[in-house]
Amino acid sequence: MPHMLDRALTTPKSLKRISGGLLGVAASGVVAALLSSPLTAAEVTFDRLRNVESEPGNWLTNHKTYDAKRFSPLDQINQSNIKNLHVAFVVQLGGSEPGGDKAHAREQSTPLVEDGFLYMTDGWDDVYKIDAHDGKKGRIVWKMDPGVDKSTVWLPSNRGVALYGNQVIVLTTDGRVIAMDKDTGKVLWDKNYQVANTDVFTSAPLIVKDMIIVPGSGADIGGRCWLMAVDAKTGNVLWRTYSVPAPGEPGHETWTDDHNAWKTGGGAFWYVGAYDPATNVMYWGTGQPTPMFDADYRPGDNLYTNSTLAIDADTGKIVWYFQYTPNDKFDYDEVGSQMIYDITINGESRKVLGHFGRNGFFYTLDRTNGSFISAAQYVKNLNWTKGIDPETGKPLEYDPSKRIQQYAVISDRKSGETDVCPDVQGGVNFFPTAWNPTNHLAYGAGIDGCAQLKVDDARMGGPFWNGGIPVRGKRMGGQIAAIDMTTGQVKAATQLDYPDYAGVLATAGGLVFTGTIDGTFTAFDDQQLKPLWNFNVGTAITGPPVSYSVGGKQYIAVHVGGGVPWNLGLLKAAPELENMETGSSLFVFALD
Amino acid sequence: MAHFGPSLVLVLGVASAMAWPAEAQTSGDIGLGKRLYQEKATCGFCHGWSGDGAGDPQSPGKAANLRETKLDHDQLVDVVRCGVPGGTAMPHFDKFAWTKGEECYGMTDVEVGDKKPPSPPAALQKREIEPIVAYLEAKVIGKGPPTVADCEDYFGQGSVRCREMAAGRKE
Repeated sequence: MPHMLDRALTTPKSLKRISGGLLGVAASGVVAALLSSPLTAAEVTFDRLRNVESEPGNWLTNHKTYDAKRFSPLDQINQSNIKNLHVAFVVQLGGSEPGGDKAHAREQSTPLVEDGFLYMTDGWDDVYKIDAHDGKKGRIVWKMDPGVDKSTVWLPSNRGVALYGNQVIVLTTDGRVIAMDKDTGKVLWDKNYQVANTDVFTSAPLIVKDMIIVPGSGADIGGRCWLMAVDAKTGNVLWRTYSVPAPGEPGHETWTDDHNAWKTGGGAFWYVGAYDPATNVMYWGTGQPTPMFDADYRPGDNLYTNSTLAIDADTGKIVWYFQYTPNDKFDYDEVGSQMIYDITINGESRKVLGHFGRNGFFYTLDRTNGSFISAAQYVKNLNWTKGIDPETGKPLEYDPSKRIQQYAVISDRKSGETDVCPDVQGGVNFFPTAWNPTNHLAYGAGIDGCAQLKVDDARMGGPFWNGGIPVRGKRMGGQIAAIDMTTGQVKAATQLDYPDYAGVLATAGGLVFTGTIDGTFTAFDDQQLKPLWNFNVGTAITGPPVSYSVGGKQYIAVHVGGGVPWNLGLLKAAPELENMETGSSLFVFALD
Repeated sequence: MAHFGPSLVLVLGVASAMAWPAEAQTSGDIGLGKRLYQEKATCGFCHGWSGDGAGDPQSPGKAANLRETKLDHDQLVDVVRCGVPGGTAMPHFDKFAWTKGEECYGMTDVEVGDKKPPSPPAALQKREIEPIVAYLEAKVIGKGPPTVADCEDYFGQGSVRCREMAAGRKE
């Protein structure tokens, strides 16, 4: 029963945990049937999601673990044999076809893996189940096309599914939650949750207990965004928490304009948060205020945009917040991974949250109360602030008495075009980060460069809501950085030839994997971040890699395609890639 | 023209030298032109589905409002073929425009230098440019602000987006 081994590849004790389940079934006399055909997968329960460490070969939730590790304990593929890693098989997927007024979708999906089956999406919200047991080929078992009216889609992205019970859950760009049968792909229920037509979903959902946590985005088109909990059994809304408070709610006083800017205030939830089962608190990053570049439209700190929110999972109540860039004008949203772990500071064990800020700094916060511990610059190019105040965690220029903040780079309606670094896309954007519990290093990859930014208050309303335009007219690179989790400081950093939109995977094999927009998929050593191996897939990589095992063998998988320098606005950052084509495929790598 | 001014008016004033004769528009041309506008050249990414200049939020911005353009047929062909030089985002959809023998506005890429328009997301053959212009002339130019009927013409009857537009969504 290979799937059993994969669940327990490095921790045999987990066999005991599941012995009452699948082994119980096997003992009842259907072993032959189980061996001859892929069995109906077990239900994904909250108990399994809380204990995913005992299923090292699976990848059951977007960040693999609730604490957002994206660390695979598998070590068959390691520094000593990485040179032999090769393509095991490729599966072509949809997503590169045009729709609405878009030439193609964007591929940013994290595949989930359970017992040799992969569950993933393309950017048009199609869901695929892929049988990877063979190891030499992947077979699409089913595809569920949710019938999104593509004319409504402004950002054709989908970052993956959630597994719950015997269901696969997907969120769609037209504001629906769809549950389908894991075995057949048949839709079990399909419900629209839009409050406004700016409510669109691009993230994967997160399962907590029997709730589907649904992050809403749409800030860039003038939305006021929210996080929602849906009862997975009934589809009923349990709570909905807005990132921008309404009049009378705490934080609303930080919107000091006279024209209700809060109603279109943004604060999107773009990516999956973390969850601490010990306290029942979730940690979610919020996006930028809207309009993103014209701070004059929305004087004030604009809470709770650009923040980490600690949210009680049962009530949706905001327990604490930490805002990174108040009254932002550079699109430095902080929607990316919220990593939660414990460290020892001055002999004292501390529960902390680590976050690669899109604004170029790595932050360590006390996750029990949101207080600031430290920040360290991890990008090479940074000019928007002179630094972070070591006491408050706010940018040094921040003045709480001011309605409009002026950071080290002046960018407003009068300033004309200014160079701002990092680029408006980051730093590390929503691209998932990883941390290794053994060597206590956290890894993030992103963009390194500067944007030429011009505020344009006419660029407002309708589908725009930007309040300006970044030109991005210069060559940009990328970087991958390793942070010492104990000190919060940079231990190693490597400049990349191209921007990195893919996110990272760390493994117990001493490796860190990521991909860049030129299509190069690279494995680095996990201490010095020296490149050890690479393979070019021939189209941009903007999806995060994962690792799984089936049949006792480790694989590395990544969804490639969907982003080309032209549509990423990076043509001048990589002019030699101007003829790159899009595509959408699952690449799976293995040793012999 | 060693010296090049960024004025679009000046550029378009010398625009028609390379234009070829316009052929009669047919409904086939217009239908093909719409598909090219929408799916191949993806003009709507910058100009918006209706051509009013309100494109994708992540587009470079400041795209021309084609519904209000004053350009004539030959000038439109030239702009699609050659792009708009001088630092705008309008690409040259003919990949070989600006080369010797394929001059634009009387210039080669040597003469236009770093004012040369950017490369296109997808290159068009010359025979594809006329249908796009035919589509613009039939459905976009001079048609006033976009209507729900225009939306349904573009996205199809029953499109959710057009229903939203009918319900007041700002396009």
